[in-house]
Amino acid sequence: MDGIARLLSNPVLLVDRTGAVLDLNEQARTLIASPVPARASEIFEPSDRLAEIMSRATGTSDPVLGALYIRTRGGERRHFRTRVLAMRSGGTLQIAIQLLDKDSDAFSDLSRRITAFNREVAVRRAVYSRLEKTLARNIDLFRELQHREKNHLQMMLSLFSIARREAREPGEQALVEKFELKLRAICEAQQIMHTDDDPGGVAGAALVTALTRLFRERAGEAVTIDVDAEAVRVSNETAFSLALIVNELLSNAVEHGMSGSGDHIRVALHRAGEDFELAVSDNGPGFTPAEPTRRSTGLGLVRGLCQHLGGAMNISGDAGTCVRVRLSGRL
Amino acid sequence: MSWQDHYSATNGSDESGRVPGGARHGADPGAAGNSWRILIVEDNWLISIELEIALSQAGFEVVGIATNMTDAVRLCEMMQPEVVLMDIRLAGGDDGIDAAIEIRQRYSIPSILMTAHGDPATRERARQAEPLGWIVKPIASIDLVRRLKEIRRDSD
Repeated sequence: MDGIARLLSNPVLLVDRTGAVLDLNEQARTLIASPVPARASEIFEPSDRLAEIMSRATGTSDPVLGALYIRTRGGERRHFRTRVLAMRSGGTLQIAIQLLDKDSDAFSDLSRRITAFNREVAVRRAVYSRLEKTLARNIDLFRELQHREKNHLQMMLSLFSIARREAREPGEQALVEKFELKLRAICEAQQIMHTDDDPGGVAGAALVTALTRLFRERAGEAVTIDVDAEAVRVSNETAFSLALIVNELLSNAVEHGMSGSGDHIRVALHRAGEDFELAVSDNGPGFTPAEPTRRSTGLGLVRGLCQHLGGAMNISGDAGTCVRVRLSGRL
Repeated sequence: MSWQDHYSATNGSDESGRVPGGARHGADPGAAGNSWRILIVEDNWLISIELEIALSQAGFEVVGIATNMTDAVRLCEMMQPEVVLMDIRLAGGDDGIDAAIEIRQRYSIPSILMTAHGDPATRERARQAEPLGWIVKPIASIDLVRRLKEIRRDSD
């Protein structure tokens, strides 16, 4: 037996080009049935694969990898990976067949891991692809819903606008205008909510500023309207109520809080602990609030919205009017 | 004349593209100087009617209303408006941005784009149309008129 083959811990057989067994190391002797068969084809199965591996090995100076079954000394049929090397010495060709236990082979173990990994990658790719498609569909759906929502609001604005133009009586026209303003306030809140990156809330300062803009033209150039708004986040649910509240308070200030000269309205939004406080004040004649009888407009609506949101409203009417509304700042 | 009367008078056929032929809506005092000739391209009937009345009352001249791309292009050729007020979603699945690009390239008429989505992706897509401005829906008529005046002033 070749000295190097003896050093190897795996079973090794030496055969000639015809497949006759020339020698085998101790590990091979322990493994293979005794007496050792004369031909490799009597040791390995299937014989055609053995012939093919040997043929490939004789065509190269590199080891050729393969897999064969062997009938062991105990009669067991075991599967081995094989490494087959053709060695030329002088004019003779000898072929070494090294047996690598398939189950304990590091390469095989790695191969199994790679196969499992590839399978997992394939599954993840399929899931990822499905998620991407679902996400794209959901984005389309979301945009479609947004589009519908905005178009419907636009249609309602158009209806109010048309109704206002067609109103014959001044009182009728004023009533339509009041509800048109409420809808515009809701539209402003909706617009800010959609443009805000944070899905959990709305920038209170932006909302108050946008709503105040609606009243600048309505109040006229002689009236100054100041906004002092802190960077307060308002929950989406509260934002729409806040928009209606600001709208009502500004409507009241413009309608009832003007004395005719030097008129001034101030809108303030500040944090108050975990809450926030909105204050709309004017320097008009002031008034003593009566218990509101209507819930659809004016202070009745403000009070109702405050109560619904667990907030509070306070009115002082001595020097001008100041309405303070305190609402929860929880998002 | 109410909007209903007006619509009957100007929409005597089933064609989606139409040219106002009845009396002009009474323009508000102080509306002089807004005489931009505008083509409205909007597939929602109610919104288009309101736009037409609001713009006419503000002193703009509405030369027609189209609901789809084909009519928009046809009315541009026929009426030669100075500007097109173009909704991005049109009837029959037509795209307002495509229509605005076509009109810009064929007749050098600019558009003002109306959209529910003022997002950067939409604006990027519309760059080729060289829009004069953007109007984000929903918008009240008073704000729309104000915005159009601003755009007109800026484009002069």
